[in-house]
Amino acid sequence: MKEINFLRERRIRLTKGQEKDRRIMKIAASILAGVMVVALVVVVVSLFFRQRINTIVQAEEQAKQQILSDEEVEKSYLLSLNKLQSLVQLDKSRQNKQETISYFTSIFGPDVLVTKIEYVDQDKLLTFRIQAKDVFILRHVFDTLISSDLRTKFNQVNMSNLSRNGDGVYEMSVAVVMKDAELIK
Amino acid sequence: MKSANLNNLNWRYVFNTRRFLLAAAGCALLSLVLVMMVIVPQFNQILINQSKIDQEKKTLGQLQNKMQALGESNTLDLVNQSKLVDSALPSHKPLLELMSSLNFVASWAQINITDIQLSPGEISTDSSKTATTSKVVTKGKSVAAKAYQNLDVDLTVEGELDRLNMFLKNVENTVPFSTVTKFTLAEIKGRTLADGSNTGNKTYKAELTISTYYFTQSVNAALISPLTPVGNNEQALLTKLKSYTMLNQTQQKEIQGGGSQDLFGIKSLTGESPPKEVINLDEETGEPI
Repeated sequence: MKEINFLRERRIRLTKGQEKDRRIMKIAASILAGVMVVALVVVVVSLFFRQRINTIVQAEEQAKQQILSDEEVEKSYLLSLNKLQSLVQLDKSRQNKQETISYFTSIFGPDVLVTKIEYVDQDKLLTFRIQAKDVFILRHVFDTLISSDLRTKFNQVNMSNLSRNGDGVYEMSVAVVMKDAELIK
Repeated sequence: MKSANLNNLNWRYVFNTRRFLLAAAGCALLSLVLVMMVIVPQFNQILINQSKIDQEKKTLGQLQNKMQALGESNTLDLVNQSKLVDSALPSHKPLLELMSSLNFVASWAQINITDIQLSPGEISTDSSKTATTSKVVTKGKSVAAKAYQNLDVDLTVEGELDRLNMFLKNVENTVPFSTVTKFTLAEIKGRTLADGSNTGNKTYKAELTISTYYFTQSVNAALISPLTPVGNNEQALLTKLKSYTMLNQTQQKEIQGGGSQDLFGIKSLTGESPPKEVINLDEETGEPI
């Protein structure tokens, strides 16, 4: 009887299988090596960022200490600046009032006397009482107050309480609503 | 003949024949563990740190800008002129300062102050002052309180018209910052002098209301908040304030008396010099030490 040698066949099959496994292992090992390199890079980058954050935080602390040491300077500066800003508003209102009074005392001429002035800053309202020696001067005052030029300069101009005293002097109240003055930009 | 038992796996056989495949499986498993346990968490951490770095860099930039601004000449200029600004708009009711400046301007303009009325309101010490910076609710809307309040003085002055004009003009050119809010003018007829003659010039009587202002806002700032620069309007006003009349007033820091024998120091006026009892006041609270 002829003997069949199955071992040789088996050996060949096993060797082919092992070759295939060896290829798979090489691929897996390469992937593992790649993953390890990536993991190493990621860890190094993370450490670098952490170090960077620490450096920045340290610099912040130093800056904060420096600013705290200048606290009195900052307080004084802020207080003065806020006061100046309030003063700018007050000065603007006052200047507006002064210019309006100056304007009205000059447009009527020397024969008209301004006897009473009242200024309310909140409403931008200026009221004043004028005296005119005779009716012709009073008419000039009327013409001036109703002129279109005046209407463009002020929001409102109203006349009221016209009276004549025993000396023949006419008195009248004028109320002016002023416009906001423009600040220097 | 014994039957084949397929239930028990022969590990030794598997290891001998498929060891490379097992190694490959081990490598794959290790790769998966590295990815899940190291790469992914560290990558997330990198993203978080990146955003934190950006934020911290921004904060550092703000702090450095503020440091620089505090050392700039504009800042130091304003700080050096804080006394001038304080005298124009003090943080307390400037009653004494206003009286002094009115008296000074009246003397300079040669007019007489015949009557003075004022209502200073509360004159409390700094420690007893309540904050005036709370928001005011008006008709359902909250409005921020004004930064300043005003103190009104009613004044009656007499003098010639041009001198009254000088007084009015210069009252608004002195510190503390003041505004004439009411003005009533009346002519005084026939002023008779002591020798019986009449004054040549017409004399007028003016009733004024002068408003002066004081700062009531509290100023706060965070550590990293930037310094607002001085604007053109503020700079222009600062230059204008330098031309205002400012009276130098020395602040009394101690109470000077004549002791128990001469309470009001009358004897010192007559040349005698009784022992002075000096009581020192605390600079901050104003109370006797």
